[in-house]
Amino acid sequence: MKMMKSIAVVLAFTGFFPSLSLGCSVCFVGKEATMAAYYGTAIVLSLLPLAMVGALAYWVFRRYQQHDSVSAGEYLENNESAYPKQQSAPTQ
Amino acid sequence: MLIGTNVDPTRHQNRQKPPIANGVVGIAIFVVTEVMFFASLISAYLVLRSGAEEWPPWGQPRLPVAATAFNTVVLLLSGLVLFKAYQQFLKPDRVSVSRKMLGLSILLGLFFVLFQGYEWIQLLQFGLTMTSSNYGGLFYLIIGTHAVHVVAALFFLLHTYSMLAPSRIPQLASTEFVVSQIFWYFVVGVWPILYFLIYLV
Repeated sequence: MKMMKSIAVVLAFTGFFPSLSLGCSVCFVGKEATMAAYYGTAIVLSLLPLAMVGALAYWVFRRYQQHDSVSAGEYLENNESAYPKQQSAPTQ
Repeated sequence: MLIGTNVDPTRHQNRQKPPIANGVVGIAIFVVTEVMFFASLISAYLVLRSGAEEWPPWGQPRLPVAATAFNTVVLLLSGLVLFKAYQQFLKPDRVSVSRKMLGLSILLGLFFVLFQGYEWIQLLQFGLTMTSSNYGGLFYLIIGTHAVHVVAALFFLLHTYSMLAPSRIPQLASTEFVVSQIFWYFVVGVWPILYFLIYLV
């Protein structure tokens, strides 16, 4: 119930007084060039961290994947007796 | 016997030596935050600049484009020498050559900072100060922040240089070398962007 009231208050403010939600004087005041710079850099600043963190996470994941496959391969080479090759079924 | 058990024998080995050193992951995350920091400064610069009637403002001195271009080349050369130094480090018995090249890279970086300091003294004498205009404030904020990063990265490189001394075990400096390299490449890499935006455009 409390949450519903909060949502109603927020909706009332954003619905009846949309101008109050503008936090930055640059957005709709000033020259075209200022607005273009503001929007352009806002897009870059929004997407850049996602791209960088995503790339970093992918790089770490790939390094671990490569490391695991190399380690497993080395182990199999050194311990062939532990994992004998499957023999083909005898033919009649 | 390992056959038929649920134990993965490679698992323990993998955990003992991680594929990426903790220091390298740490500096990579740090560089990500630094990129965002510089991106926000550039954003503020572009928004303020686009709103100005005249840029640079009337009465403010022009920036030394040619001299800074030379300084940019010095910094890029420093990055290249560092790259070559690490290649030498990876070869057997080439640590002393690597150390000398690293020393040269540090000297080039030091030259960059000192040259920039000299430029700043000139600009201050011509009337470009932090409070003279938005232009001056943004210039010293962004270029000064980069200069602080250059100095910090030089300390990283000096630490690596000391670890490559003949009296120590150079092989132990592998992670330090990579970490200081990443930081220096960031510092070198961000500079041409700043030079282009602040000095040229």
